[in-house]
Amino acid sequence: MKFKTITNAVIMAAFFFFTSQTVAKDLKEVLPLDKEISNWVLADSIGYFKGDQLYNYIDGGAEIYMEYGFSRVYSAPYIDGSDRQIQVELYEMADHAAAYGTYTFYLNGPGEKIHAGQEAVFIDYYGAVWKGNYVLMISTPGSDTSLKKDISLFAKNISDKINSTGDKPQLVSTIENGGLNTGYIKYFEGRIGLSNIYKIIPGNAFSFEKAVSFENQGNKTIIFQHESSLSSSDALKESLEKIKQSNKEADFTVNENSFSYIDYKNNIIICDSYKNYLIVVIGKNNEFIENTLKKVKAVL
Amino acid sequence: MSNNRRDFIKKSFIAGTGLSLLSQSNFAGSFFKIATPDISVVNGTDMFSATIRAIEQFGGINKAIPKGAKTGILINAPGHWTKPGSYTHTDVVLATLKMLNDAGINDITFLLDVSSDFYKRSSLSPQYEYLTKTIKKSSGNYKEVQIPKGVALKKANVIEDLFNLDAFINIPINKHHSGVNYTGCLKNMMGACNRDTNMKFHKPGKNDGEDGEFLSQCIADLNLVRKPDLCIMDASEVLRTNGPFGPGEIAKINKVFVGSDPVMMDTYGCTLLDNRPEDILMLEMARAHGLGRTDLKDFVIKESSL
Repeated sequence: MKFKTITNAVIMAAFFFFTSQTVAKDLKEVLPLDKEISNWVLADSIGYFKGDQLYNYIDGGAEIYMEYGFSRVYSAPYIDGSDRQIQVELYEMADHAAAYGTYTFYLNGPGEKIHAGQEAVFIDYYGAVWKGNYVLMISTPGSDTSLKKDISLFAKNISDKINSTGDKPQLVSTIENGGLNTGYIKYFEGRIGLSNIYKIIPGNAFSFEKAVSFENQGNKTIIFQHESSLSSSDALKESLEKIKQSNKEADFTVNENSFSYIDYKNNIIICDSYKNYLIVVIGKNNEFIENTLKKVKAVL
Repeated sequence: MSNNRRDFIKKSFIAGTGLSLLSQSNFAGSFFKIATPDISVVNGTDMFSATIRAIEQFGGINKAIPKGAKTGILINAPGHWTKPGSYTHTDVVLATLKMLNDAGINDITFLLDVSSDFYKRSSLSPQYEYLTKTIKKSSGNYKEVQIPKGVALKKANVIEDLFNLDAFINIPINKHHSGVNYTGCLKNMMGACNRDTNMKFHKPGKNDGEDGEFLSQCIADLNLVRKPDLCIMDASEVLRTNGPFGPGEIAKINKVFVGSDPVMMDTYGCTLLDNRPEDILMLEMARAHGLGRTDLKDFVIKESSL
């Protein structure tokens, strides 16, 4: 019996080992071969990092990926006949929400749409693609904006080979379909994601698992999703206490379901608990802020 | 007594009284302080020239590094930092090497090897190849050092070259960092540690405390190992968001600044990215260790433009 158990364990271990190698090999095969795209060839060996190894690749840059949920990455440098360089990074994230969120992390402007993956954009000197559980980052070492066409070709070539699709997080779809003029929407799942959007003091003022942010009428809007209206209301109270502790010189206006204050950057910040959401609107003009808040509530 | 002599005595008396009062006044004190600033800042897009001017304005290389000193340099440009705004500008490094060479400092080691294409990032590199080719690479050997005064970090594996130097120059880039909101001189010291140590900073086994507290404390503790003799900060075009790796929004600050107090440098530097020093936890933690000053209002800053 014992021998049979050990044998089964060995067989299972071997099965998982070889399966994982096959999956790893499959993902690597989506990367372009030499001259598959114009004159671009691999400039060096392909890097592969999974789990905690991501810290070996990008040190502290790994934290945001870990926050979203990271599985593994392939990193491949390419060079063409004119010595121009393109870096390809193909990230497999924990799920499609994590992948979509990571994709939006790269968005620093509306950019120009690329026809690749489920969603893709070219911004300044890099392209970002989202498809299912995967995020593709294609960049140039310098801020070389002349490689847009080549970046688009890489984006299409690689994403066409990836067999994965997924839905955007529900909260994102709700906002997108709500008719607000939002530009690009960021989706995030923790403190690090929030800190890249707006520095609210203290950085852990808001406890949450899912959130989105976007711009509207010059205001920055952040929506934290909670399980219920009760937990949203509790989150509001907790945030108020934390923010008050760190902003002792600020004047706070507190109502039953909301509070507001002016922060160290002289922005008005309004926090409002509505249904199972905590809505934060940041801006300079109170009237515009209230207007944004009203529109967002109508959508949620 | 002739009128001329009387006149001379009168004018001498007035001048002497004036000088006496001047020497005791704040103005005189300020004059001498500006001549030796805490931080020297130069604005401009020519990073090579800005670095030269910033070092000269600070008092010259020999103010901090004696002639003939065996010198180590820590640059934030390892192989994986390739996105714009994430790594130290090559021209800042080239200018520093030139200043060192001109000042009779020629035994130089990189404590962390730069990316293999680092010099390709500057058109000036060919003309300074006579300097770059003499730089010694990092030994790659790390030794465990104890940090008895460390609060979160009690030991670290640090590049052993750091302990075989007469002088040490820190050349970071002034940029955003997702974990602790800012990275400059203090955080650049992580470049002198091996992967195992750095991973401990990012993964304490429990949650990171509030707002990157654990990471910030580790950084402050690490800086107890060795303080730089000179800091030269690249604040040219830097990541404003999505640091340290990028890609992200680029802030075109177009400054280089120089000082010998890493805490002062970071206190000033973080404000260039719209931070308040009191919100960058590692600054107060480092100050508490006696590593430098955070009283920004009292800094003597000499600033000029190309």
